[in-house]
Amino acid sequence: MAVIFHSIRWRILAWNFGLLATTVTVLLVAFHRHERANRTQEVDLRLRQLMTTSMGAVGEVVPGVAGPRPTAATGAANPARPRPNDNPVQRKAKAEQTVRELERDGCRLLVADPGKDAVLFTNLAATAEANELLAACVAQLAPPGAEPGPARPVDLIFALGTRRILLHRPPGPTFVAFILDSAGLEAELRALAWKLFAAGAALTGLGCAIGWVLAGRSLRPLDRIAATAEGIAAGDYERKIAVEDTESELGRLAVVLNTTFGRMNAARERVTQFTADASHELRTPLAVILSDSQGALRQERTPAEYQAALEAIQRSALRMKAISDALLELAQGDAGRPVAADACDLADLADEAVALLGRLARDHEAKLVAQLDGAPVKGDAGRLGRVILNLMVNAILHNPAGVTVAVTTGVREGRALLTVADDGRGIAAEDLPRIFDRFHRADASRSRHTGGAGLGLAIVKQAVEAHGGTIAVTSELGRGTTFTVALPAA
Amino acid sequence: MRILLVEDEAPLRASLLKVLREEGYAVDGAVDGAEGLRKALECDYDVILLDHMMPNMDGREMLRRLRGVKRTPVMMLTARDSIEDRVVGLDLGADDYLVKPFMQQELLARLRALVRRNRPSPGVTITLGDVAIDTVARRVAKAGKEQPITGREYTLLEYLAHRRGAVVTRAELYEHLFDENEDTLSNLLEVHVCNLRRKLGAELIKTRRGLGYVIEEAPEGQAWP
Repeated sequence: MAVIFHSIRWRILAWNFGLLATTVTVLLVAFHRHERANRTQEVDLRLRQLMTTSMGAVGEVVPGVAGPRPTAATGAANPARPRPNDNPVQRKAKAEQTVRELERDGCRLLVADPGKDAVLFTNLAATAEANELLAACVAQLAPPGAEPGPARPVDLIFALGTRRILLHRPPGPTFVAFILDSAGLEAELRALAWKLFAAGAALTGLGCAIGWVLAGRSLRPLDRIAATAEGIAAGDYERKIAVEDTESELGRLAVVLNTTFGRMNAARERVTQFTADASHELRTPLAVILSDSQGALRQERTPAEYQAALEAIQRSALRMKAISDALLELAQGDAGRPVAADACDLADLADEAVALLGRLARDHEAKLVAQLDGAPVKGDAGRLGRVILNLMVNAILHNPAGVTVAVTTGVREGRALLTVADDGRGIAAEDLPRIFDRFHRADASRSRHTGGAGLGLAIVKQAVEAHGGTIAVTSELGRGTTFTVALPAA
Repeated sequence: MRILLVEDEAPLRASLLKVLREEGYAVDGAVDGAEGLRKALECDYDVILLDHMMPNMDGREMLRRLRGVKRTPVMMLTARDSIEDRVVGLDLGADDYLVKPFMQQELLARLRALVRRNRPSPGVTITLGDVAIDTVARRVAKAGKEQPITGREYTLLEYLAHRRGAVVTRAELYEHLFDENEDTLSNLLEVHVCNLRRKLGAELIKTRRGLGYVIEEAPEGQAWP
């Protein structure tokens, strides 16, 4: 049960029900009241008509219903007008109705018997009901006998039980009560109330049903999203949420989630790739170590053979060390190692690099060209030096003999710039976006002829970015490659 | 038994070549997929050991192209050990898959198994009259007594024993017994045959003049004493 009330669909249904029920109740109650007022007014009108006809029967003309009471002056001035007593309706009523006079507590009471609509005081003195009615009427008036009565006739309508009573009080101590039994009206109103209640309940039920369906339909994308997310959590990382309407709220949510899941999947794939690459890079020298050591131990060997095996093992171990050092440097960089802020000059660092690489360049028949203008920066001279060395060594080793490697430094627009350009074989356009990835090598087959594990450029990029700089590369196959490092100038 | 080792990692290649040669296999090395494919198509190797990630043509690509032409047994050597890598490698037609780093014993045992699988007689022991060849221990016994035998001699004997009843040409023997660095015009083959006859009896290996050598089918029941 508790689960049900946590369901959004159920909550929407509950709210829908509450709002609908309140609205329908208010509307129907208002309608019922209006209807009651209308019906009561009808009864009152009938009471007044009754009064008019009845009073006409006793010679009094009631204004407003059966025409104004004529004054002597107007009556004399307009002889063409019929006398009120000649009103045909009143005349007719006079013939049909009986009016009796009664005495009670010093009041003179006229009781009309207008026929089937009225409750009659035929034996008023005898019945308790008549007494009660009379007492109620008297109670509505001022204490009898205390005053002579109003100067003008006063009408007073009130309800007593299921009856509606009109008290007509002409001047003087007399009053007349006209009584209609409204029991039929009350029953009708009750029946109406039941009908309205049934209609309201049906309306509310229908509204809730429609709301339930609509809520279900609008929440269905959420179910799909949940199912997809569960699938992804279960390991189906390639799954995407099907989006029908990208502009709806849930559609936008789905798009956002798809993007997020996509990014997370890409990150996961990068980590997986990185782990696989790292394990490959470490396993290969490990295989050499195992193979050489087992080969050496298989049988008696000459000292020269042992030495050769140990040298091979050492080379492999050194390679593993280089890889683990590089990985450690990257990991430290990832952890946000603080960068030193020593004043140094890219020109000096490049100059040192050119001097250091002289022999390597000669061995590979590469030509080094340097055009070094001052480019002062603040940073870790060692790390920046390795950046320059790394870029230059790459340019020398990854290109055929005879390549020219040009290093330039300088300041432009407040940025200290370093470029390392070669006229070698260039990098294919599809490889360019990935060359800074860890373990990525332009040659997908992981050639080891050029040494390195494919971590150099990743370290370079990390070092440059740690110094608040950027590194960019442009390349054209057969024309060469240019790396441009831009750092904030000191 | 002639093996092609395709491995771009120079130290590992050198190490494995040495071990395999010491085991008595004739081994050729190739530094990349392109060279490996050329050699594999040129010569009928008994087994190809194939690295996965290499320049110029990786192991998978080379295997795919080789399988279009030949069904030489191939063992993939790779540092990639994910299930997916293994499945792809095996589905491309590799017969076995060994993850680096591996122990030499395992490599050699898998190599023997691969050779055995592609021989007509599946047993580990071959019996020729009173001569018994243990293909696992690579030992030979005559009349229950073990005979000292060199790796190359063993390989020659095993090759002829597997093909017993059929004449094996000198050219075929040279192709399977000697690697590309050895001079095929030498009389090394004759020397090995002569040594085997001396150790195991002159009747075992017969010369078919102008054709080659043959080990006659041994009659049943004269097996291991």
